Amino acid sequence: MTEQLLQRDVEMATELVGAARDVLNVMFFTDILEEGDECACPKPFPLQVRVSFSGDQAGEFRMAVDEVAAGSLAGSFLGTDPVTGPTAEETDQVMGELGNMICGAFLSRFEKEGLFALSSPEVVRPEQGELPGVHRGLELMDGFMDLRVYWEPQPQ
Amino acid sequence: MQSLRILIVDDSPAMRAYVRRTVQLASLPVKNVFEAGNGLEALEVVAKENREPNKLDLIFADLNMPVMNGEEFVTKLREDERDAKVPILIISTDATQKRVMRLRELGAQGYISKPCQPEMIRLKVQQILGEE
Repeated sequence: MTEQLLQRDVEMATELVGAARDVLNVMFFTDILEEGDECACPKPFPLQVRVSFSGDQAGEFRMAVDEVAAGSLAGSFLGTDPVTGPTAEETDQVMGELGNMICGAFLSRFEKEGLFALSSPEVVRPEQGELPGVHRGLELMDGFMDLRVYWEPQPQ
Repeated sequence: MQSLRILIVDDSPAMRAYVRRTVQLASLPVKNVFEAGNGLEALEVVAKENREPNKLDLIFADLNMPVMNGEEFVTKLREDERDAKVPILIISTDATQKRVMRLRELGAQGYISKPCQPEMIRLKVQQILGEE
């Protein structure tokens, strides 16, 4: 891998975590405690969200979370009763929206001049397959999250 | 500010619930909230609910939706003289400069990129309705 590509991957990872932190801080009232190449959570994750994007750059984004994070984030977003919590359907809907927001925020940060079309988020249970590309494991205030972005190579 | 009749257009029920709750938290005087899951459904709601004497005051719209996306919805709405003046506030994750410029050209009055705080929504709504 060339030095230029390595540098791009470092920048992508930085913007990916920055986008996730922005979304989690502002709309989910939580934060990232730790980030790294891997997280200490049991694999595979029970829930994964996929969003593909096209336009000035094509690729795919994936977000996986554990049950603790999914329930806590969905409850915070919807303001549901902490005792009863959100339903499984509500949790999937919120996780789809969370994946969509992190993906969109990442693209807006990393390619400010770009124009993209995002697919509707697809929620998959359990996590299926790994995606090549940039990857960050996050420990949240409640639970764990795994983020991946695949950037399709540009034709030469 | 008068009591508002608003329409929230988003394919995500979770996001519609969030906007509805955010509008309430922002202490905006809302009288009626209508919802639609895409641009086509929104046009149907507008055809029914944006008629004298009960006009819509504001439409919150997402961009990335199936069937009819936000850009197509804004374009279609602006083609109809009766509905051309309803202010549209786009709330979307896509905050690239090209997208924002394109939406202004199409006739959207405001743009908020997600993530967004309730205060940001309140200020934008006041700005848009104050400009009318």
